[in-house]
Amino acid sequence: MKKLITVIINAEPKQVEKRDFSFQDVVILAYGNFDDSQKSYTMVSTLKNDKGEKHIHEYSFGDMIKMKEGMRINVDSTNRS
Amino acid sequence: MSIQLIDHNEDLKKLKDEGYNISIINDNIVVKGIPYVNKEKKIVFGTIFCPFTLSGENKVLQQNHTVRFAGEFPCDQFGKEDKSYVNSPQTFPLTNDIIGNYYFSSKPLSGNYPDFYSKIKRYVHLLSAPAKSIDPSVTAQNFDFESYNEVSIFNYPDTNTARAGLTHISGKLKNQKVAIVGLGGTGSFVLDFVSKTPVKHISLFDGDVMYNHNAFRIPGVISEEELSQRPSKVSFLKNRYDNLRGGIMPYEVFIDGSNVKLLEGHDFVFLALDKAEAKSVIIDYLMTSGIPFVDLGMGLSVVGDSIRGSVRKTLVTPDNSSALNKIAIGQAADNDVYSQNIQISELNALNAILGILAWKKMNGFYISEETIYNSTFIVDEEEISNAT
Repeated sequence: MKKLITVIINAEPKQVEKRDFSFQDVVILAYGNFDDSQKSYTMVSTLKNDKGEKHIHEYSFGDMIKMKEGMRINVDSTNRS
Repeated sequence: MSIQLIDHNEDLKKLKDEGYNISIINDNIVVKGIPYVNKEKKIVFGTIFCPFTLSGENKVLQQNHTVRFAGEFPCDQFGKEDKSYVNSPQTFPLTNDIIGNYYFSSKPLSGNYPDFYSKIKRYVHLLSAPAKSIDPSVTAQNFDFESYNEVSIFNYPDTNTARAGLTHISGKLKNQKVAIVGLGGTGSFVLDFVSKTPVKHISLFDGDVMYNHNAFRIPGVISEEELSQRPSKVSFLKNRYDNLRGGIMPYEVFIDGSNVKLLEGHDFVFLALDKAEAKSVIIDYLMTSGIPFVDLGMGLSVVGDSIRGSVRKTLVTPDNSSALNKIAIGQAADNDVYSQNIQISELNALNAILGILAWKKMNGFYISEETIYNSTFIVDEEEISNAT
């Protein structure tokens, strides 16, 4: 059993294993399923380092996400205007 | 013209520093771009000039109190000829372009002006006071007078840009034909911003009518009476923005495979639509046709009793489609917070602004060190993730 850490996905805390997650895995964490008809999601993570500096990272389908304690991830289907 | 001579001379430097369009041509001091009113009560711009002789190194000796004027007979704001200082019609060519038509004489009580600065200021004031009473923004200082009366797409002059002398920058957008596909919250803000640039043509595509909830998402306000007539979005917006400018073409259609060719010939396209199937067809067409575009979209949800989400802009050009995979082409869910008519017009405006910045940067309006092809604004953190 891997170590559990807390990450914030779409403003809600989630307990997850400390490992690499696929893009699809993170969408499932956020929405419960991966809706293929959505085709694409916008996914951005932020993480503060010890100095309080924020690092931003944006992911595309196919990327792996290295989960870290305190990481905040926003994942949305940005198809509204 | 001799810039150095002007800089070395106290009187002239003062005029130049105050923004007068001053030059030295054929031993005459020439001041161009002075607003005045002609017989038709129209604001036009004239030139005054008079000979100068240097006294010592940097003082101008006043020969007399008169100047010559290249322009029409100056009038008051009602179009009546002002004969108080116009001496006589007298043709005097200084160059092929600057031909004096009138001789002005306004003698100060002391007999002569103390310096060239006071003399020029006096004649500028005499000429421009009636013009300023018609349009207070016109001035002989730092004013792009050459563009002021150009045939404009706007119903009235953009004096802000002319006053700042920045017409050449906004001119970079001038001859463009721009399309906005989808005139909901975001698209209507795009229109609001684009309409205030001098683009030649703006095509609006949307097959929907204006509903109550739209009224809370678009810039400005709609009256109850206007709303009750259920106007189509594009015709309503065209009528509204016709008050500002010409060149707006409304198309009461949703773009799909059958009519995507309507986008042919546009220089830039803003995509601000929810319809998923249409988006793929449009993107394919734009890429094949080499038309640059920006896709705008947001995704929101409710957590607890607050809203969170992301706002995205994606730029695709004929040279770079690296951000294409960021565009959400899925069908928007029917039960998300956006479809429940929550009003978030500031996010619509922000999304539009991100798109407008991309377009203006692409055209050199704003400096751009590196092209940002994708930007995502995270609402709760107020952070923007940029991809080059």
